[in-house]
Amino acid sequence: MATHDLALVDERDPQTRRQQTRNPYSPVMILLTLIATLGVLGYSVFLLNPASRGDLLPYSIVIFAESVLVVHALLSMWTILAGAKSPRDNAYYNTRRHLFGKVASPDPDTPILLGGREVSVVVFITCYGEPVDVIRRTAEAARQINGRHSTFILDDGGSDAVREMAADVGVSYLRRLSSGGAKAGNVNHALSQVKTDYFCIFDADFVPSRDFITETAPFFIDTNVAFVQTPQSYGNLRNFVSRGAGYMQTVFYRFVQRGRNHFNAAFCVGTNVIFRRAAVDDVGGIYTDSKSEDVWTSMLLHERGWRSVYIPDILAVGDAPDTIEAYTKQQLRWATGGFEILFTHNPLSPKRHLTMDQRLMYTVTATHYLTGIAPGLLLLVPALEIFLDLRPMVLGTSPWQWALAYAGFYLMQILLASFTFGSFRGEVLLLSTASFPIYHQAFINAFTGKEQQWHVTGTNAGRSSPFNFIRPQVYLFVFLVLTSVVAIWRDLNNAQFSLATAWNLTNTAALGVFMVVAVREAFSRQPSPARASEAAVPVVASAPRRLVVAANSGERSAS
Amino acid sequence: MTWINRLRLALGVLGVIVLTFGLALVFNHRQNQVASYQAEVAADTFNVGADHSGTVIKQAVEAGDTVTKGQLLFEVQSLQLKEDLANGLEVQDTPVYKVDAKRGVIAYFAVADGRVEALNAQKGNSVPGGGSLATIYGGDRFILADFHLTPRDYARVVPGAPARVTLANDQVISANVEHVAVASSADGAVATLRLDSKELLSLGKSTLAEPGAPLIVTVELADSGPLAPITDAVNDLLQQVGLR
Repeated sequence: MATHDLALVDERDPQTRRQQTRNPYSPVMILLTLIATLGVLGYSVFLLNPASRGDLLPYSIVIFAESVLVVHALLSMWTILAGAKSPRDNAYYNTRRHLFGKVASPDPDTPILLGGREVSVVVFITCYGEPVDVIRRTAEAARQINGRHSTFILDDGGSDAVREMAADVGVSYLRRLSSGGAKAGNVNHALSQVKTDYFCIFDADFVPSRDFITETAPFFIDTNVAFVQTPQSYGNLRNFVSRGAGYMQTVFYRFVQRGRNHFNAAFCVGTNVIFRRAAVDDVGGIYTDSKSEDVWTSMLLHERGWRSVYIPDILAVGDAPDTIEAYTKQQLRWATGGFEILFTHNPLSPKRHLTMDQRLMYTVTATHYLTGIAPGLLLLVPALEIFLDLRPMVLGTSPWQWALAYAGFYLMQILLASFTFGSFRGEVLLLSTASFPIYHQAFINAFTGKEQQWHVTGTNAGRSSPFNFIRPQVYLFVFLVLTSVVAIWRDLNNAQFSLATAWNLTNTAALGVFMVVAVREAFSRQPSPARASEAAVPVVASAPRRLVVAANSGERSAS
Repeated sequence: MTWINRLRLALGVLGVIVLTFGLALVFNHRQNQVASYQAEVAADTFNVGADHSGTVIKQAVEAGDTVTKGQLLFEVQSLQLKEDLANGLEVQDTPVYKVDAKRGVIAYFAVADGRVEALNAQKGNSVPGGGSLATIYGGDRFILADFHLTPRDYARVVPGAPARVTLANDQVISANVEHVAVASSADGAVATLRLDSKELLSLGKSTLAEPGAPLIVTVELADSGPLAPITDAVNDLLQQVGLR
């Protein structure tokens, strides 16, 4: 590396400057995307070629699963390429220049001016049994946001410790008697108590930056803008699960949401967002009938013609789920919300008042988690060949043909990802391979309208083993290990190494890594007196809410 | 983890192991049998050869006709034969032909029940001595089946081994390996098995059992693997309860 010891000419070191001048839509990235598209098409031609079609069952599985993956890959690349233009326009910059009037260095009490008129803003911090110090961190940062605003802790956990902390930090505290509608109900309750022009929502663990309002509020000069969403960024990427879960979102927040701006289909993700109150009133408050209230509310707003804005600037840092339990619950909630749209509010239906752009984007959202189910189906294909001699492709297809077609799709996708992010994260691939039972469960839950019940009781001081949540993965792992043994025995008998064995061993290894992660998590969670009392809160507290929500959904179906 | 969840997990894992074991038995069973890539009903071929050159003056059958033993097939008039006979040559009748010395005509008859497969001479044709008049498929039918075999599997095909034969209408009959012939090439060994089946014979003149009818033959290979006793036990059980 070329270095020298000359003094810095300004406050930026080369690292910072490189960051600032980095072009996320570099021409090489666009070229790679185009090559990847060709690879995808090549792979599709290879799969659909009738000459290479094998036995019906595995062939159908492969075609279905790969179609889902291919279509989503193509749509995703399309969305990414569409997002090169920034949503900030002249009106935005003009408004931002005069946001605090003539005040050069604003503080948390400087009036916020939109088009010369002072507007009122409230910051909501939604809590539900999180540790008090986590909420305190967020509350202190929220109070420090520049621009005059009030700050409320919306405590659904009903914790007196949080109330004392709120008084201590100097923010307001709201608690409600019922807990219906979960987070959406919590926010709606607060909206009935606090009337402001705009409101921000932060989850208890998302620490906002001082510039949150400065960066987002100017968009509201366009009176059609309903909300401005900023990314979720994670500060706790310390273990396998959190890294996998965190980086899994990177493409979405860096590129997909940004591209969706241009379809006017960027959706709210429930935190790090600022809403125009009038817009939310226009759709009757935050949507309460889904666990994914954020996506649903966005879609209802879009149906009413509102515009949404997403900016990729990181203005709040939070925690990614760092346990298998938290990850499973998060993914199940998101995926169920997506599938609910598919089953109950099909965006392609002529009844929806959406533009074609929005219809396509919400269909992508509604079917996105099918890409999570696909790997589970593909895991079974080698076993079909090993045990039942059913092959997806005709015998004559050489491994090299396979490898070439495969590389065209998967290798190019990995290459594209590694170029875009500087490195490829194996955790994402491994974690998403092992996640298919979650999405499968979400699909079933959304289809039957059933509420997920975990058979977990908070005996061991509220501590539950990850194995409570990954029984299907354990079964599949055992199955894959045994299948690998049979596969090797078969290859020894036939004196020929087969592709099915190679795939099965790869799959076994991938799931094996996940098992190791689970075992390590299980052992690291052995009760230690200090942590037990702290962790007891969320789990114990989560029981009553589930009951309430379950009761609510029963009420809905009865009415 | 609660005890009830531990129990669920243990039972689930047990279920997976049982399922995999069952699949392994299916796999082992398949490993111990090979399916033909080409098989057909075959029959002995009888060639009706002309003993003397001459002209076909009567043709009693057409290609594809079914014939019974002793049925008249052709009459061939031979001037050469007539001359020879006139010169005092004695020609004996055989089961195959009868000689009419006066007219110099030889009548040819079917030597076995069967079907006229190829007709090489028609009325009015002249046939050379030793030439073929017709080919008749007849006698007992058997099965010829071709298999791609690995060397290891070739060693496991033994005469007398049982086989399942699937007819064109999916009817399954049983057969036994009679004879194994093999030819090796770059692609591996191709074994041609001759199999006998009593059930095939009992099908009589059904078109399904006509020579040339397509079949799928699955031959059991000698199993000496670790799962052999278990497979046998399962098969015995299935047989006992009537599922096989």
